[in-house]
Amino acid sequence: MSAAALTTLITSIITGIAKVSKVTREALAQSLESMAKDVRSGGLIPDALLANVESDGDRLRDVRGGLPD
Amino acid sequence: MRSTAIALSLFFLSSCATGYKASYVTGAVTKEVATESYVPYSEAFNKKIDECCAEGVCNPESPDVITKTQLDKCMGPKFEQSTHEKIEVAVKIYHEAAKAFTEAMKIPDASDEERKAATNALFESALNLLALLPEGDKRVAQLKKLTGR
Repeated sequence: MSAAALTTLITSIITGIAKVSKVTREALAQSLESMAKDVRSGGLIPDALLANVESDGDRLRDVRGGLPD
Repeated sequence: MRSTAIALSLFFLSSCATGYKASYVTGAVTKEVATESYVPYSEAFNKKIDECCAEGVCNPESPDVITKTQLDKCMGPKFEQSTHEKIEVAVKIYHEAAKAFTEAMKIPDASDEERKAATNALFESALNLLALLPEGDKRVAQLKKLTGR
Protein backbone atom coordinates (compact mmCIF):
# COMPACT_ATOMS: atom_id res chain seq x y z
CA MET A 1 0.00 0.00 0.00
CA SER A 2 1.36 3.40 -0.97
CA ALA A 3 1.86 6.22 1.53
CA ALA A 4 -0.94 8.22 -0.10
CA ALA A 5 -3.40 5.34 0.13
CA LEU A 6 -2.42 4.74 3.73
CA THR A 7 -2.96 8.43 4.57
CA THR A 8 -6.40 8.36 2.88
CA LEU A 9 -7.34 5.22 4.82
CA ILE A 10 -6.27 6.70 8.17
CA THR A 11 -8.07 9.97 7.39
CA SER A 12 -11.25 8.05 6.53
CA ILE A 13 -11.08 6.06 9.77
CA ILE A 14 -10.56 9.23 11.85
CA THR A 15 -13.42 11.00 10.05
CA GLY A 16 -15.65 7.97 10.58
CA ILE A 17 -14.87 7.79 14.28
CA ALA A 18 -15.49 11.54 14.66
CA LYS A 19 -18.87 11.22 12.92
CA VAL A 20 -19.93 8.27 15.09
CA SER A 21 -18.78 10.09 18.26
CA LYS A 22 -20.81 13.14 17.25
CA VAL A 23 -23.95 11.06 16.70
CA THR A 24 -23.37 9.21 19.96
CA ARG A 25 -22.84 12.48 21.86
CA GLU A 26 -26.00 13.95 20.36
CA ALA A 27 -28.04 10.82 21.15
CA LEU A 28 -26.57 10.76 24.65
CA ALA A 29 -27.40 14.43 25.20
CA GLN A 30 -30.96 13.83 24.04
CA SER A 31 -31.66 10.73 26.09
CA LEU A 32 -29.88 11.94 29.23
CA GLU A 33 -32.64 14.46 29.80
CA SER A 34 -35.37 11.80 29.73
CA MET A 35 -33.24 9.51 31.89
CA ALA A 36 -32.78 12.22 34.51
CA LYS A 37 -36.53 12.91 34.42
CA ASP A 38 -37.28 9.22 34.96
CA VAL A 39 -34.81 9.07 37.87
CA ARG A 40 -36.28 12.21 39.49
CA SER A 41 -39.81 10.79 39.31
CA GLY A 42 -38.67 7.59 41.06
CA GLY A 43 -39.08 5.51 37.92
CA LEU A 44 -36.32 3.09 38.91
CA ILE A 45 -37.79 2.25 42.33
CA PRO A 46 -39.68 -1.07 42.21
CA ASP A 47 -42.77 0.05 44.17
CA ALA A 48 -45.15 -2.26 42.29
CA LEU A 49 -42.90 -5.27 42.95
CA LEU A 50 -42.76 -4.46 46.67
CA ALA A 51 -46.55 -4.03 46.80
CA ASN A 52 -47.08 -7.38 45.03
CA VAL A 53 -44.73 -9.35 47.24
CA GLU A 54 -46.21 -7.83 50.39
CA SER A 55 -49.75 -8.49 49.19
CA ASP A 56 -48.91 -12.15 48.47
CA GLY A 57 -47.22 -12.49 51.86
CA ASP A 58 -50.22 -10.92 53.62
CA ARG A 59 -52.57 -13.37 51.90
CA LEU A 60 -50.59 -16.39 53.10
CA ARG A 61 -50.17 -14.93 56.61
CA ASP A 62 -53.93 -14.27 56.84
CA VAL A 63 -54.83 -17.77 55.66
CA ARG A 64 -52.22 -19.51 57.81
CA GLY A 65 -52.89 -17.32 60.85
CA GLY A 66 -56.49 -18.52 61.05
CA LEU A 67 -55.57 -22.20 61.07
CA PRO A 68 -55.14 -24.32 64.18
CA ASP A 69 -51.60 -25.45 65.14
CA MET B 1 -3.76 24.88 23.96
CA ARG B 2 -7.35 26.16 23.91
CA SER B 3 -8.51 23.40 21.59
CA THR B 4 -6.77 20.82 23.78
CA ALA B 5 -8.63 22.17 26.82
CA ILE B 6 -11.95 22.04 24.94
CA ALA B 7 -11.23 18.50 23.75
CA LEU B 8 -10.36 17.39 27.28
CA SER B 9 -13.52 19.01 28.67
CA LEU B 10 -15.65 17.29 26.05
CA PHE B 11 -13.96 13.98 26.78
CA PHE B 12 -14.55 14.44 30.52
CA LEU B 13 -18.23 15.39 30.02
CA SER B 14 -18.71 12.50 27.65
CA SER B 15 -17.17 10.06 30.18
CA CYS B 16 -19.42 11.33 32.98
CA ALA B 17 -22.49 11.07 30.76
CA THR B 18 -21.52 7.56 29.71
CA GLY B 19 -21.13 6.55 33.38
CA TYR B 20 -24.54 8.02 34.17
CA LYS B 21 -26.11 6.29 31.20
CA ALA B 22 -24.55 2.94 32.12
CA SER B 23 -25.86 3.27 35.68
CA TYR B 24 -29.30 4.27 34.44
CA VAL B 25 -29.44 1.33 32.02
CA THR B 26 -28.43 -1.07 34.82
CA GLY B 27 -31.12 0.39 37.10
CA ALA B 28 -33.85 0.26 34.45
CA VAL B 29 -33.02 -3.24 33.19
CA THR B 30 -32.71 -4.57 36.75
CA LYS B 31 -36.14 -3.24 37.66
CA GLU B 32 -37.66 -4.74 34.52
CA VAL B 33 -36.10 -8.19 35.04
CA ALA B 34 -36.89 -8.31 38.78
CA THR B 35 -40.51 -7.24 38.26
CA GLU B 36 -41.07 -9.61 35.35
CA SER B 37 -39.39 -12.51 37.14
CA TYR B 38 -41.70 -12.15 40.12
CA VAL B 39 -44.90 -12.44 38.03
CA PRO B 40 -44.79 -16.22 37.30
CA TYR B 41 -43.75 -16.92 40.89
CA SER B 42 -46.67 -14.84 42.22
CA GLU B 43 -49.15 -16.60 39.93
CA ALA B 44 -47.91 -20.04 40.96
CA PHE B 45 -47.86 -18.98 44.64
CA ASN B 46 -51.49 -17.80 44.61
CA LYS B 47 -52.59 -20.84 42.60
CA LYS B 48 -50.97 -23.05 45.22
CA ILE B 49 -52.85 -21.31 48.05
CA ASP B 50 -56.10 -21.80 46.09
CA GLU B 51 -55.31 -25.50 45.62
CA CYS B 52 -54.32 -26.05 49.23
CA CYS B 53 -57.42 -24.23 50.48
CA ALA B 54 -59.86 -25.85 48.03
CA GLU B 55 -63.25 -26.87 49.43
CA GLY B 56 -62.96 -24.47 52.36
CA VAL B 57 -60.30 -26.37 54.31
CA CYS B 58 -58.62 -23.08 55.29
CA ASN B 59 -61.83 -21.78 56.83
CA PRO B 60 -61.42 -22.03 60.63
CA GLU B 61 -65.20 -22.63 60.91
CA SER B 62 -65.08 -25.64 58.62
CA PRO B 63 -65.17 -29.12 60.22
CA ASP B 64 -62.51 -30.13 57.65
CA VAL B 65 -60.13 -27.31 58.56
CA ILE B 66 -56.45 -28.17 58.12
CA THR B 67 -53.59 -27.27 60.48
CA LYS B 68 -50.73 -24.84 59.87
CA THR B 69 -48.37 -27.79 59.40
CA GLN B 70 -50.69 -29.38 56.85
CA LEU B 71 -50.84 -26.10 54.93
CA ASP B 72 -47.04 -25.77 55.00
CA LYS B 73 -46.72 -29.32 53.69
CA CYS B 74 -49.24 -28.62 50.94
CA MET B 75 -47.50 -25.36 49.92
CA GLY B 76 -44.21 -27.23 49.69
CA PRO B 77 -40.67 -25.87 50.08
CA LYS B 78 -41.02 -23.55 47.07
CA PHE B 79 -44.01 -21.61 48.42
CA GLU B 80 -44.21 -22.14 52.20
CA GLN B 81 -44.27 -19.08 54.46
CA SER B 82 -40.57 -19.15 55.38
CA THR B 83 -39.58 -19.22 51.70
CA HIS B 84 -41.89 -16.36 50.82
CA GLU B 85 -40.58 -14.33 53.75
CA LYS B 86 -37.03 -14.71 52.43
CA ILE B 87 -38.23 -13.36 49.07
CA GLU B 88 -40.05 -10.52 50.84
CA VAL B 89 -36.88 -9.56 52.71
CA ALA B 90 -34.84 -9.71 49.48
CA VAL B 91 -37.37 -7.45 47.71
CA LYS B 92 -37.28 -4.96 50.60
CA ILE B 93 -33.47 -4.86 50.46
CA TYR B 94 -33.59 -4.37 46.69
CA HIS B 95 -36.25 -1.64 47.09
CA GLU B 96 -34.04 0.20 49.62
CA ALA B 97 -31.04 -0.16 47.30
CA ALA B 98 -33.13 1.30 44.46
CA LYS B 99 -34.04 4.29 46.64
CA ALA B 100 -30.37 4.87 47.53
CA PHE B 101 -29.44 4.42 43.86
CA THR B 102 -32.06 6.99 42.85
CA GLU B 103 -30.71 9.48 45.40
CA ALA B 104 -27.17 8.96 44.10
CA MET B 105 -28.37 9.47 40.53
CA LYS B 106 -30.15 12.71 41.51
CA ILE B 107 -27.00 14.37 42.90
CA PRO B 108 -25.72 16.53 40.02
CA ASP B 109 -22.08 16.56 41.15
CA ALA B 110 -21.92 12.97 42.42
CA SER B 111 -18.64 11.30 41.54
CA ASP B 112 -18.51 8.33 39.22
CA GLU B 113 -17.39 6.20 42.20
CA GLU B 114 -20.45 7.17 44.25
CA ARG B 115 -22.78 6.28 41.39
CA LYS B 116 -20.89 3.05 40.72
CA ALA B 117 -21.15 2.02 44.39
CA ALA B 118 -24.91 2.64 44.41
CA THR B 119 -25.29 0.80 41.10
CA ASN B 120 -23.29 -2.19 42.37
CA ALA B 121 -25.37 -2.37 45.57
CA LEU B 122 -28.56 -2.27 43.51
CA PHE B 123 -27.30 -4.95 41.13
CA GLU B 124 -26.13 -7.26 43.92
CA SER B 125 -29.43 -6.96 45.82
CA ALA B 126 -31.35 -7.79 42.63
CA LEU B 127 -29.14 -10.85 42.00
CA ASN B 128 -29.84 -12.08 45.53
CA LEU B 129 -33.56 -11.70 44.92
CA LEU B 130 -33.52 -13.43 41.53
CA ALA B 131 -31.54 -16.36 42.95
CA LEU B 132 -34.44 -17.05 45.37
CA LEU B 133 -37.06 -17.22 42.62
CA PRO B 134 -37.82 -20.35 40.56
CA GLU B 135 -35.29 -20.74 37.73
CA GLY B 136 -33.06 -18.39 39.72
CA ASP B 137 -29.89 -19.33 37.85
CA LYS B 138 -31.55 -18.52 34.54
CA ARG B 139 -32.81 -15.16 35.83
CA VAL B 140 -29.40 -14.25 37.23
CA ALA B 141 -27.73 -15.13 33.91
CA GLN B 142 -30.37 -13.11 32.02
CA LEU B 143 -29.79 -10.00 34.15
CA LYS B 144 -26.02 -10.31 33.84
CA LYS B 145 -26.30 -10.68 30.07
CA LEU B 146 -28.70 -7.76 29.62
CA THR B 147 -26.63 -5.40 31.75
CA GLY B 148 -23.30 -6.62 30.36
CA ARG B 149 -21.98 -7.38 33.85
